[in-house]
Amino acid sequence: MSRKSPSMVLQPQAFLKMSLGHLVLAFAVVQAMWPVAWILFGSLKSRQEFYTNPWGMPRSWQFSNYSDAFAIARVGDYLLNSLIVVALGLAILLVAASTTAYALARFSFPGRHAVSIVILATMMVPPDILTIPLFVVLRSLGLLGGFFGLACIYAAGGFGMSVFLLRSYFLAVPVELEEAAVLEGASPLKILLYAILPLTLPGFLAVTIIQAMGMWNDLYLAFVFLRDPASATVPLGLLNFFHREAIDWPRLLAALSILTLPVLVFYSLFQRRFVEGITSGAVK
Amino acid sequence: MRQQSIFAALALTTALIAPAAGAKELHVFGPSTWDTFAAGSPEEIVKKVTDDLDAKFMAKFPEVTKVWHDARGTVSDGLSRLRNAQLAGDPIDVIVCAANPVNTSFARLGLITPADSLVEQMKGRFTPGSVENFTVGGKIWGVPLSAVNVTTFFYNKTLFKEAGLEPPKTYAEFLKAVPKFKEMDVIPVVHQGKNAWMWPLYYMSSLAETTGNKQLEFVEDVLKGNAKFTDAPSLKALQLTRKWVDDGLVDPQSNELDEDAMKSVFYSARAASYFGASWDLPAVKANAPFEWGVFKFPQYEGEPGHPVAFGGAESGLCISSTSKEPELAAEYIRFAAEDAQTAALLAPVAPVATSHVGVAGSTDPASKDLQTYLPAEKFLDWVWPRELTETIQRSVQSMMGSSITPEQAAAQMQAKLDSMVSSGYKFGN
Amino acid sequence: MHRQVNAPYALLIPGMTLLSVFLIVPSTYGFWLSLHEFDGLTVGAWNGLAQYQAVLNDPEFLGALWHTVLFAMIVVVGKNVVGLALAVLVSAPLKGARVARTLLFLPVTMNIIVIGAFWTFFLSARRFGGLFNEMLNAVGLSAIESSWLSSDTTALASVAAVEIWRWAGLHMLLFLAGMQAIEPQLYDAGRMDGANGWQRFWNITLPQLGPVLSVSILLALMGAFVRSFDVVWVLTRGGFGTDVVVTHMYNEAFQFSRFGRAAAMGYILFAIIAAISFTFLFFNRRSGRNV
Repeated sequence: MSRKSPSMVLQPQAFLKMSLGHLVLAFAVVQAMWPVAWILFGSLKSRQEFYTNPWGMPRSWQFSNYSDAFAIARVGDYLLNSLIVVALGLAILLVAASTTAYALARFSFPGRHAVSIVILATMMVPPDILTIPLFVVLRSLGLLGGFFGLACIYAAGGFGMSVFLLRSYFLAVPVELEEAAVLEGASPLKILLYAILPLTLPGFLAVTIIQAMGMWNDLYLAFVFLRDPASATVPLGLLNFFHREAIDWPRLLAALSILTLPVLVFYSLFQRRFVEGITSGAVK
Repeated sequence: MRQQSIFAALALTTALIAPAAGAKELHVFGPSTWDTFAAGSPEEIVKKVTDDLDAKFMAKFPEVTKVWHDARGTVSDGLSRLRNAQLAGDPIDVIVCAANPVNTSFARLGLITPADSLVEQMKGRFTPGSVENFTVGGKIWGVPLSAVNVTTFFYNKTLFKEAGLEPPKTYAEFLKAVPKFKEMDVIPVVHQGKNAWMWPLYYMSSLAETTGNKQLEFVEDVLKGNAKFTDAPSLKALQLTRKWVDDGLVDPQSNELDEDAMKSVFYSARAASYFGASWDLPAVKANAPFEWGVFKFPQYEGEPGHPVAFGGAESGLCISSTSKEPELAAEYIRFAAEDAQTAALLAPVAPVATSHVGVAGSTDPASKDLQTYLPAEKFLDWVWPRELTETIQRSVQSMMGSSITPEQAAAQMQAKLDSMVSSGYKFGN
Repeated sequence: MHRQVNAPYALLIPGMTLLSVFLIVPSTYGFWLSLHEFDGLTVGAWNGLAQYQAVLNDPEFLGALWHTVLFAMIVVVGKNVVGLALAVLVSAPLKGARVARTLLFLPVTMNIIVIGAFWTFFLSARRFGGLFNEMLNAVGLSAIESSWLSSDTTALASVAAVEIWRWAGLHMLLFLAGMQAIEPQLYDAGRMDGANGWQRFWNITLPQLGPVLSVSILLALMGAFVRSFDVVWVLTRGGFGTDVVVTHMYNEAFQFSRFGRAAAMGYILFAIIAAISFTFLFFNRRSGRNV
């Protein structure tokens, strides 16, 4: 967002820059949107047309692909499971990350740097090698196959990034606000909840959206750690489109559109606050 | 009076508990969605044949009150799904096991127990090659129960007719039609090159001819160190394979296509043929909008061997090494492998041929053609150690993408084997 | 700014519990596994550091490592340059910049399966329906038409390009954030001193973005080294010179059932990226910027 400069006279040089700017912007948006268009068009084609006419608009709009996809991917059955796991994961993550971030932002205590370094280090371990160890850990804790275990893994996966993001937002809040509360004898937790949280809501929202997206779309971890078919999450339903002899692309794309829709709705509703969230403090 | 009623209550309770105490449940596991009975058929049909089998089994063995089935996931995730399930302590008794992973991993990793005695009792029931497909290291690891699949070319009859080509018996015949295909702007042969695992089929098929049909012995010699990939038979096989691209038969950019993309090129008549296997039959039947047929890998003139098809019994039933009811698992397998049950389980697939002598293959024209390819040869990548197979796949893939020469491919494969040997690999482990 | 209170330890409990149980313990166990033969089910013989030595002597692993480094270099530079350029673009007084800001973020939300399918189709040969080559041909550039994803010379760069495309929107937002925080007075002063747009960018914007740039670079680095499996696998299955350490690890673990070795590869990767990141952070600290 830039301020309108008082000298916005369109001289030839400036005009050229403007049009060039518009051109480049248009190009950037098109290349970001093209796959989205492809997905939407593709999801409305028949299997034959998908291959013979990959880039054009659908000749006949097969809306039935969506209802078929809904049924094949068992979206109805799995939706509740996905919602539970994601909600649980977000809850665990936000509690753990916000308390840790607050401690790191406001308090200086022995081991402060060590904690930061350890958290940073855990973000550098390739997640794939942790699969079997996590398996063993969950099994010994009796959490294997349940939503809680998977939710904890999701939370742990997003922990590092969330801590650092939240910490920078907290650092941006003026200390004076807290001083008052401290003088009244409020506990750090209360301060966090009632003083800090309202002020850094955009930041929380940003972290929530980014992490929720990852948890909602996760296929691999759900596949490994949810053992009962009845507990499957929505992405696992996508596997039903991968037949041995062919992939049912139009219906798979339809299913993916259904899957991404909540994310997009969420994003567009909160887009402004989200952007504000990211932009309001990732600096520090 | 009170005593009597207590007695009655006790009797009633025991009467209720007793059958429950004797009740058993069996768990049948399929590493992927493909590992079911009547594999490849629509879900309702799979469920029906499975339920029928289970009902008959439970009638015969009344102590079994429920048979659970769990088959999910993609084929490539199958091994880890099975391993994870065993690691998690899930109950697994019977595994619907495909011959490929049995040969390459299940047996070696101890996920299944040998089934020698079981198969002994069913001597003579199986078609030639079926039991061999489940034999690893001298032991038999599963009971064959499946359709038999063979490698074959699929071709577009209309396009071939236009090019004036009959299904070629020799490579030279096929080659003659290349200019005509070019004129028609049609790709003669297309391949799913992106999936490196399918390229060795060309090498194997050529190797069969260059070794005078002693390709299995040759491979074992190489693994033992008595022969090399760079020796004449193998080098020639690679050169002949490369010729397919250089002579204009196989599309030089096949490496861009995965299975799905390749088939779409074939179904939309932009390519006239492709080399695959009979497990594609149901899909081709359903999707090809033209008249199609099959033909066997052609003869190279001047090579000592005759063309063969690779394949055999695709899947069977194995006993899980973590089963708590191995005898019951064996009973289930014994029952399902009876001719009558097997016929019912395979009928929906309309197989070309089956693992059982007593269960005949389908009679449609394509199947009849394919039946003439039998007996099929064992896939060589079931004999090569996994690490080596990976290198062979990538080398042939690069060679067919024209990045390396056949000589370089052979050298790469041999170098890999040499480094494995120096790290302790020994044939027969 | 910071208080000396003993309270924080209570605050740290939820986070540290999560961290220890679900990250530190598995990582340590994983490291222990990397010192053994492990086929996924039963832990075998002790190999000790010899396993690491064997991995470091393996030419295939070294090849994968080299590909990873190349990939990371292209991706880190690309994500940041493109992200920065986009950030500048959408903060200019252009019509539709506001809308663009949302739309440019969309690739970040897309499922990897779809990204793979789209780009494979898009970059394939003209006769297979490849739109990109088609477009090149249409503008007369058919000379550079190529098998982008299946040729050893172009595959790695193509995969890197897709990865950059995928995440540029995220980095754009990060930079936007930083740019919002720059005080307008600095720009005014610059303008009064007679600096033009480009000079203002170079001398005011860029230095002020220092901290954000650090975060952005670190994120890109970690992503390229440690989380590149999806994009490589779905585009090329690790062939044609795009075999990176994480895809190599996957084969080692799931095709050859050698989890111990795979874990060793993972920890070597970890050591490398830790070294790079901490060196980078150290120099940043030195030059007075905070992360």
